[in-house]
Amino acid sequence: MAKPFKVKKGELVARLGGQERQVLAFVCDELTDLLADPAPPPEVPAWAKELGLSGVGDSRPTPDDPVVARLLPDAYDDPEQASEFRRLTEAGLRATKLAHVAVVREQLEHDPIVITDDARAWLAFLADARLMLGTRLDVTEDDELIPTDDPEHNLYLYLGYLQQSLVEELMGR
Amino acid sequence: MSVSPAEVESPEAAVAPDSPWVCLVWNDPINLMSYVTFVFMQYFGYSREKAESLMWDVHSKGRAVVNSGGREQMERDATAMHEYGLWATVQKDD
Repeated sequence: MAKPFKVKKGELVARLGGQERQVLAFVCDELTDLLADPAPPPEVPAWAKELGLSGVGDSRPTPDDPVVARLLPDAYDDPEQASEFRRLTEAGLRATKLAHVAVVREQLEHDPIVITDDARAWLAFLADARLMLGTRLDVTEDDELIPTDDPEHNLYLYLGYLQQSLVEELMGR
Repeated sequence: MSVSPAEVESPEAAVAPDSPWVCLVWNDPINLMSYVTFVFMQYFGYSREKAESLMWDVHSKGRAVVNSGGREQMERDATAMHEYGLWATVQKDD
C-alpha cells in the first residue's frame, strides 16, 4: 500500500483516493457540527475586534456529550476553576479546532493535496477525528487493532493509519 | 495510548525548583504513542529522547509533568495540548 503522506520534492503531499476523500469530508462535517459553539461569546464593537479582543461570555460547564467533553477537556480538576477557564478559553479552542477542520475540508477538493504549510491542521484534525470515534466506540488500550464488521471501528483504524503515516513523514523517518 | 509498551524504566520529568505551577498530560487509550512523542517535540521543542521518555511516563504512570513555570504559561501549554487533542491539566506544584 502506498504511503498516504509523502514528502516529494520538498513538498508534503497527501495521496488520497476519491473514496478516502469522501470519507474524510464526512468526518470533517461531523467534527464541524460537534465543535459548533452553542454559546458563542457576546459581540464586541468593531474597534475591539480590530484589536483582536473578543467577549468572554458566561461561565461554562463541562459539555454533557462525552465526545465534546473529550475534544474540549477540563483544564483543571476543580470544577469551579475548570468552568472559569472554559469561560475564557473554550470559544477560542473551538474556533482553532474548527479552523483546522476547515483547512482540511477545503484541501480535500485539491489534486494533488499539498499540505506542506498545513501539516499542523492535518495533525490536529486526525487527532480530533480519532478522539471523536474512539470515544464513541469506547476504545481501550487492550483493543485489538484489526478490522471488524463495524465500519466506524474500521474508520477509526484507518484514521490511525493516516496519523501514523503523517507523523512518520514529519519525523523524517 | 493505543500500542502496549514493553516494561521500561523512565526518569521522572525534571521540574525547576522555584516553579509553582505545572502542566500535566494524561494517558488516554486513543492517541498514538508516536503522535504524543511528536507533539512534545514539536510544541515544547524537546529532543526525541526527552519527548519519548515523557510519553512513556504518560503511558505507564497515567500522567506526566510536561512543563513547569508560571500559571499563565502552563495554561497556554494546556490549551495548546488540547488543540493537538491531548488531555492536559494545570495545577499548583505540590
